[in-house]
Amino acid sequence: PAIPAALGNIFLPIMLGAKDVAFPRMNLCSWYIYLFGGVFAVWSILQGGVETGWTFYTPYSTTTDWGDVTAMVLGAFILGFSSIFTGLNFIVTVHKLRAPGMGWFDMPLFVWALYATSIIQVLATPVLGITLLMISFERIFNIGIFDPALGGDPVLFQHFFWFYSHPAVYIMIVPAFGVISEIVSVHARKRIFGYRAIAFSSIAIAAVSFLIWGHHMFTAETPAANVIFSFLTFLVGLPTAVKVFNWIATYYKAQISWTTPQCYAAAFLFCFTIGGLTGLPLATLATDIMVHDTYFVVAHFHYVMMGGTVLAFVGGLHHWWPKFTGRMYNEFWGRIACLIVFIGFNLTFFTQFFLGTLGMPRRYATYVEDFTLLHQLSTAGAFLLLLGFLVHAAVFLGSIVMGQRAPKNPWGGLTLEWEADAPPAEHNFEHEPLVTHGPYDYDTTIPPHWDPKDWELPDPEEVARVHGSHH
Amino acid sequence: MSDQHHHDDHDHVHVTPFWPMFVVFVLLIILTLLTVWSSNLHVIIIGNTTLKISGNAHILSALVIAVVKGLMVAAYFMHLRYDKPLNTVVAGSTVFAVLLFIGLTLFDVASRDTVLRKEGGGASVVHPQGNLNGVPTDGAGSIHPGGLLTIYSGDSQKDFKKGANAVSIMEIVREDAIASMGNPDAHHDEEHHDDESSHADPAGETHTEGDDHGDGH
Amino acid sequence: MTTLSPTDTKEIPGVNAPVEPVHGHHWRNLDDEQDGAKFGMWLFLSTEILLFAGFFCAYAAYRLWYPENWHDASRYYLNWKIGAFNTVVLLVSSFTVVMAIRAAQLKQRFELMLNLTITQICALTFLFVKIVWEYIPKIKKGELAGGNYNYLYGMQPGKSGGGHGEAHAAEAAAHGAAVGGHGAEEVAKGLGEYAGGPEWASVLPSIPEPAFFDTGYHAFHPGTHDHIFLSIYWIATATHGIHVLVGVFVFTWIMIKAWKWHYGPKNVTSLENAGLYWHVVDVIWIFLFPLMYLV
Repeated sequence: PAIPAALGNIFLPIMLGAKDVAFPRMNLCSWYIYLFGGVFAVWSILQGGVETGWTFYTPYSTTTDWGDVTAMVLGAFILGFSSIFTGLNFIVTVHKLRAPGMGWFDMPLFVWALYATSIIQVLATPVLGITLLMISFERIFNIGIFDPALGGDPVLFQHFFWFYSHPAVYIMIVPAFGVISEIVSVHARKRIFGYRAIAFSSIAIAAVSFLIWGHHMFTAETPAANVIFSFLTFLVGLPTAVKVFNWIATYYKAQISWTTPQCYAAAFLFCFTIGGLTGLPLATLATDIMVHDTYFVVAHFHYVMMGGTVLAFVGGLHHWWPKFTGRMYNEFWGRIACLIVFIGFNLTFFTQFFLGTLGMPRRYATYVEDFTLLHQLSTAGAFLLLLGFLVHAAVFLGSIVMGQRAPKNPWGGLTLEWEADAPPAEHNFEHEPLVTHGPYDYDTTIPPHWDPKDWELPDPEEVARVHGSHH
Repeated sequence: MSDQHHHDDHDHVHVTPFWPMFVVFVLLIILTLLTVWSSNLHVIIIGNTTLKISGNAHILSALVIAVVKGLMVAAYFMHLRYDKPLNTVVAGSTVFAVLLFIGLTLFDVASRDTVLRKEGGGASVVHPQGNLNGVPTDGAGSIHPGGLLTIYSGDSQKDFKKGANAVSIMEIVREDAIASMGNPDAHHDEEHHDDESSHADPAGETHTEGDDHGDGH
Repeated sequence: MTTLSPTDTKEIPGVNAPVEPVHGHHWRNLDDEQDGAKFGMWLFLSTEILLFAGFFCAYAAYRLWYPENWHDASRYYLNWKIGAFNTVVLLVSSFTVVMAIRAAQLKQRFELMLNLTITQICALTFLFVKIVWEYIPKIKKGELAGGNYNYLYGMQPGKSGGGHGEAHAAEAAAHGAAVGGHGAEEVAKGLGEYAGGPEWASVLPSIPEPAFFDTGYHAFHPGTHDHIFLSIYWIATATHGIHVLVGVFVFTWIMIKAWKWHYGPKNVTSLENAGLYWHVVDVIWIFLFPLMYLV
């Protein structure tokens, strides 16, 4: 998953004031495993891809000869270990490598989000591993555990698969929540509303995410199980809603500056809320039976995944771009790109809600004429989306080639990464960072009416000298 | 710089003690033998009463003993008892996730029949939704193998094979089902007794308490 | 016993005394590193346990559906005496790992190497017994997993559907009679043909089973879902066996480090971590043994 792997690997240690993650060699190993697994996946795509879809439902996935399912499945199995090792690393880092003076409730919310994500990664991914392993055995050795022709049960496969894959979508979205927490507070220059609520809700989402996998199988499992999973699925909306309310509350009486990351955070709030709310008809048994496997589902998960994770990821990239490249990007074109992406995204996927409720099934290449207009609108939106991302690419390229040098703390953030050099030195900090304030203490640390760009973060040696020994 | 925070916490490091570990080891062996012995125990005859122990009871006892063994290995051999509680939290959450996974999946799986068996072999079509009432449709008893323990006492000793007049402690819940199905329980027991009779000794009478010749039934 | 005391000859780390441990410089102190390493190992072990949970879940589901078939198949195909022997072997090896850790903490070099050696021998014994007296005989008899199983009820090994029992049985009878022995009997009971094991299995050695493993239970009592039972048996025990084999390699590495005086009272962490892995492998077998062999 991109946010933990990319942004997390750079910023988790820095935000904690650590020199590196707990097991740096394992981290490198996880990168090589990722490449190795990727080779299998790319090979499979070159062979024609997997007609089964990423869900690999049996018996099609165990019997088909289309493309190369075995290579893709083995690739995903290997990639799972990359994910597990990263999660393991992050958990131990958060427990053991925090800077002196940083307690659990002094950590930035991005770190809390990564911690919750890592717990899900460690507990859920092995079950995917065993599921993929069993598919490989079925294909290679003709073992019939999931194949009805050999007395097996395909719904059992679905249980195995979704036990991982539902927590997996939370692996993708929870770090995005963390990024948004950071962006919203820094670019509105206000203490995040309800720090502990957001922190605990990340953990709560991680925990509840393991209980609700059956909602992907409402048309395949028995009614008794359906009722239980439907009920539990409603629960997961609660901590998520807590977060959304807290972000909106953070904007109250804040000094909002409409930088590109802030535009992305606002876009996220709009799109993710729609995505989350459309999850409710999917959690409700009666409506889900009608919209299962239609474009409604496609629209829902794109709103949460693209409107959620991708927008947060791109926003995060902009937010930390000055830190890890050392250069600023062009704000005007960044905002234009955000606007184009936002319009394109909504055009593409909002129409799909209608398509879905009208009955257009997903994973179908052809459709009746009545759906033509909506499909065409959706396609037009997709091209607009492409345009938006191309503008982004140009902005990033332009920044690297000719962007102005970035100061250490262009946005006036208070978390530890803004004390590091831009880009950070090897081992992140020159000397042990000192935790003198909380991560969101805007109201108590920065003097009012100061432009945060002019406000220097305290020099640790100076503070140590003045205040005596640390820790 | 590496010595800056070095402190001799290791002076109080716990040296693994010999006797507790040895006792745990011996207990593990004993429990293994207990599992093996109890799995071979099918019938207990006390005076006038015969206790027939069903397959479910064997699974339950085997699992209970395995859990105890696993806990002993985790607490002592894996040092959880002497470690920081965080490691126990990790182990505990893992076990919880496993139970969640198996439990909820089985909840779905248990409420349907899948392959219906025809007499004389051959498999027919899989019913994904199965029989929604949960009642086995051909009396083959694939979901309800007969509770945990069946007690036959007094006169019913002679009817042991036929299963009549049996009072089954764990099968009380199935009385309605039994009544409405025309007592497939008897049918089921007949099947089971056919197995018994085709194997070793022809009659259950030669089984005595604690008998465990290794030939299965 | 063999502990060195300071009044003896001078202790030279790496020659007659344990090497001083050095912590990686991103850790603040050695304690943090050792605690962190153990914590990380527990997280990894939790992934191993969840991996095997999948096998147990499949076992539970199929057992719930076909309990008598499972019971009979377990009695016929699996030899509980071999399983019990292997269980005891693994328990001994778990105990010796714990004793090895103790020896390292007390600087007892001879006991350390001895216990590690016994652990290795136990692991190799486990693998030997399993392969020679379980896997090879099964392969030779064709008691393989899923579609490769040779007594399928009217089902062909391969991907065609079921339900062709009667037509197939006729062909099978002829084939069975040709192969000899079992064929006609099985067909009469409504079973598929007996085709024996795969031809390549004849290159595998056939070592006769020692008498004390004989359970005396030989009656063939097949069921419709034997092949699923065997599927789960094969993949669960084979994956477990691979983990035992990996354990052998891990302990070889540990023994090399132990020989070079790496372990001492201040540093047994990698030995403990290897021991934790080994105990998890043992616990998995503790659950696998009764579920597969005894019930």
